[in-house]
Amino acid sequence: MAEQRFQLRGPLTAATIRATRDALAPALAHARTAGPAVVDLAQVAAVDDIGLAQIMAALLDARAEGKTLRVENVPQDVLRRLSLLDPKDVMAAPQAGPRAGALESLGDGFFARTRDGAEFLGIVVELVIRLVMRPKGLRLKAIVEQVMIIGVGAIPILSLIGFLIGVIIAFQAAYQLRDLGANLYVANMVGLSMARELSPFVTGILVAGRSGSAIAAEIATMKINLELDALRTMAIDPTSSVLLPRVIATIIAVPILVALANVLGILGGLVIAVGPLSLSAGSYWDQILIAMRPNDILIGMLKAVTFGIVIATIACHKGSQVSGGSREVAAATTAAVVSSIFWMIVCDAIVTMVFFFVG
Amino acid sequence: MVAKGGQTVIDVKDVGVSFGDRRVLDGITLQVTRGEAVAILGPSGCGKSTLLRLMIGLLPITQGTISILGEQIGSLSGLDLEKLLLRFGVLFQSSALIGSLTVGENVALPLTEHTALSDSAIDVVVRMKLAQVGLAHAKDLRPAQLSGGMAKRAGLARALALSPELLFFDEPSAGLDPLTALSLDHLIVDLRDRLGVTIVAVTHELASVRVFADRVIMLRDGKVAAHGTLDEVAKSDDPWVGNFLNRTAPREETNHQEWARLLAANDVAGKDGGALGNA
Repeated sequence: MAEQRFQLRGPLTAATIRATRDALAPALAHARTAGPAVVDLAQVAAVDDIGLAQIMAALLDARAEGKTLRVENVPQDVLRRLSLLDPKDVMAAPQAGPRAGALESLGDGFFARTRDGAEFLGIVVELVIRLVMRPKGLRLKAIVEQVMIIGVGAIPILSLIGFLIGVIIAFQAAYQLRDLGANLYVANMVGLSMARELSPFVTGILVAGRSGSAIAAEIATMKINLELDALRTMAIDPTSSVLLPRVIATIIAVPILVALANVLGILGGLVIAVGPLSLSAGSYWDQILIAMRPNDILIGMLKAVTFGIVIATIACHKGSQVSGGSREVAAATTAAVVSSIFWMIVCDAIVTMVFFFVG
Repeated sequence: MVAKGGQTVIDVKDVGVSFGDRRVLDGITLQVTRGEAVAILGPSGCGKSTLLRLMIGLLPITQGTISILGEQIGSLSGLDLEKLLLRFGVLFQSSALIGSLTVGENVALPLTEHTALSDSAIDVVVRMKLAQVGLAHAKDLRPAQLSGGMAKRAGLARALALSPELLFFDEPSAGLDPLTALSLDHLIVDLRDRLGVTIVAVTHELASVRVFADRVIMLRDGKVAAHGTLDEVAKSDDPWVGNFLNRTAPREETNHQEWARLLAANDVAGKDGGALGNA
């Protein structure tokens, strides 16, 4: 079959992208449907890298489909520029990377969580062993500093959230109880749901978002900036001096914050009880004392301690696994928050179920 | 690679490292004598940073042995390792100052962790070390407030805090303007001459090497390519060493006509399946 020759004219540059494409289109179409095509550059005025890339792309496209598209009379200045490049680097056929299907990604997510869980348990064990060995790098000052950041720093926002949740539960309870004339039982609802579930859970999510992310980001940045390596060369163990204070501080801070949320939640319920529900403060308080047993508080505190361990160890782990650049710091921070919320819910479910059956 | 006379403070014997399939270091043997300043020189990716990380105990030694100040760094742990670590200092390329502490607190860190000094004594040591590197005024600044040169000096002050016998530098002048780099090089020379500190610097900056290095060890592709004084190394038979020291490089060019042929080729019928990439 005879070759069809396509004469390109004028400049083929960044300013003439459309014109170049339109000029190449018939040649490519001919190569695809009719037979061999030759693109002749003898008449072109100027070719820059953009024009050249368009020509090469047409040539590679045709060849990828097993068709013939040849380029002839390439201007000398273009060849001179090309001679600085290795053809292997430029003319490699495009390769499609493996792409995970939606179902595969779901599976990956599931396995990632399971792997996280195994790693998490490993770290907890390691930290406990370290703690038992009384590491010399661990300083009270560092723990106190972290308690201030993680615990005291969260008090204003947590108080507000706790109060509002108390208000919400009181309204939700009254919505159903007022028809039964049982408004007084709003106190039961507020007290029990705050102490057993909502205070620990909301505090956990707040601390994960506020401090878990901060811990992961800080440790990841320290890792990337070689600060952790620098500590090691100064014979200061990063686990004892950086990770442990944060873990211990979180375990101290979360239960205290949960207690605070309990108090503010009950206060929020009180405001609704004496306001819209027309109960007396005394009867609300008496009912709280009747409804709440020490066990309810203890279960909440058990959850609080568990959540503290979960948040801090996951944040430390995700942060110290980073290697590379700023993109990975972001990924570690996200992973720390998502993973710790997931594992808090798992632990929450386990504790709740165990105590449902045990007492 | 054997230095003349003097006490050997670093003795690297037949060290090799592989990351996966990649052989990063292969049969490295070198020695450093007390009181000398040695530059480990080579292009990016030649393995010199890996060698440094092995020597300062940040990477496990999988093949060969490294003796630092008479101790096998790969085999120590616990208190023995701690004792050895306190005898040398490291200045990282990024300075690696702890971002949450001030410059003064950074310098004080090794002192508070490892000595029984009182707070006021530590304060005096911090002032001395900062003055030594010309940063007396920067004690209360945060690392983020420092320029590149100041951060290096602060990192150096921290590395000097426990008066080490041996100092490791990772790319001391990288990223600094020529004058700042020169002042840091002079500081290195001062440390060697006045304090008798042994210096090992990993670098690719020839200008710095000319200022401070008594001896250079050139690495290429994970092997020692040349060693000796800069003048000795410059006479090396290896053309690559000459190219590196003179900053010359042969340019590899593909022939013009090769490209013309490639573009005009009727490659579909070609034996290699039409992929130009095989040309």
